[in-house]
Amino acid sequence: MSTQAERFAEIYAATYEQILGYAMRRCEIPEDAADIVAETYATAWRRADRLPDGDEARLWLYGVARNTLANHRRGQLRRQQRSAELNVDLADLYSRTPDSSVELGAIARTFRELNDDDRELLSLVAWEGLDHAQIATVLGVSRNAVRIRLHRARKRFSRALSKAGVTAHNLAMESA
Amino acid sequence: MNELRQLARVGDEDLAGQASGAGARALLASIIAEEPVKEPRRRPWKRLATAGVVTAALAAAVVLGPSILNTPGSATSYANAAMDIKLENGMWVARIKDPFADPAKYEEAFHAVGLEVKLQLEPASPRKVGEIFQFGTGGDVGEQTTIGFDSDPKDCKITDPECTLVLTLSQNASGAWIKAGRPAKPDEPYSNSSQATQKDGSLAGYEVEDKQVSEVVAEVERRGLKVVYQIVEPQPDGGHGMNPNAQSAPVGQDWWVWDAEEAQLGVVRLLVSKEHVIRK
Repeated sequence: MSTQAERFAEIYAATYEQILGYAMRRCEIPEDAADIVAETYATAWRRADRLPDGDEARLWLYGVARNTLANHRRGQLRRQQRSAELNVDLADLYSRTPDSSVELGAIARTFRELNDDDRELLSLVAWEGLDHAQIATVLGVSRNAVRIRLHRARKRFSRALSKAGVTAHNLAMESA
Repeated sequence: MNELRQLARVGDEDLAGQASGAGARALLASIIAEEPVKEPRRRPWKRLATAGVVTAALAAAVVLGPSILNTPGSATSYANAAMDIKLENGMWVARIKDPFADPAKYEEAFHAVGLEVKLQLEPASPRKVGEIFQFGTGGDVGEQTTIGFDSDPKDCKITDPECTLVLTLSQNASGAWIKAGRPAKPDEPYSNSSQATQKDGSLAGYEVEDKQVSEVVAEVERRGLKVVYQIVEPQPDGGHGMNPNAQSAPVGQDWWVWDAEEAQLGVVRLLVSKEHVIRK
């Protein structure tokens, strides 16, 4: 294995579960999540010279995964089938997923109906546990922009929740 | 209990050990078996010269009147001046012939094939043309409805006569509502927020953050653009907020810029505050 491939394999092993988690939390079906993970790492390999080290690699990969997901959603009909074994693994993981996560009815629906940018910002905080600086790296924007956008996203989400008659005090909308 | 965290299908901790699973190993092997050849650069959406060009291009493609007269819901295709919809490979494929049409025309076409779908196309900054801003579905929680929006041919310029926005919907899409980006007319404000300093943005290559209004306005004007403002105000809780109804207050040349967004064609919105806020 070349030095470049060894380095890539190390980063892959260190980040795979987090990138898989990112994709699974945003895709309704396992085949879509498998596509996102496969395409994210295929893209990372093509740009291996730009893949940073350490925790920066994870943030960079979140950014690639985010773009991959956006492209995927724009072209739902062009599903790639480059990862049959991965599909099997993920189908198994999805079947083990507890149903309780979709029982939050009104909150889930309100959250799903936020615009993509707001939902992604709030997800990066609540699901990936990122702080402002890390989100700024993922999105390729300034920390101030993240602060402003998060503020707006929280406001809009709170308003939408109130409209849906939901009072929720423990929503993880603040950075850890 | 944390409701938002509970919405997550899985936590990273639930996936421990997956990196050494068969699927993960097979994927890694298939990826590094190929040489890391750089991918060709994708052609980005180009800024529209004028929306008039778009209108003319699309008008050329307009076919007047419904082409198929069927009772609502029985047709597998329908066309009017605004949209052409067909069932293809088990998915509804709706080609937007006139992105400036009355939304009722889109509803008419959806209704004709038995879909109750609302499509609202809103003026968008060039990067967001052809993207879905928001959507909702009428299905039950857990049921999957597929909605896709793209250009055809892929990544074409919307100013080209052959370039069309295409919406794809699964057959269970009734009840869905979709808000998506269309090209903006010259005097229309964008309904999305898009950072002007991004690549391909109006202020691409320029940093606005932590600069004073006078300095940023000089650059904006140098680029032949106009400025509007949104004022960021301190909040009692220590954060900062914006009141969209109180944005006419005079902005001083010595105020500080937080960010710059695309407001409309040729206009940039600066987010400013009177005090200089030190970043944490």
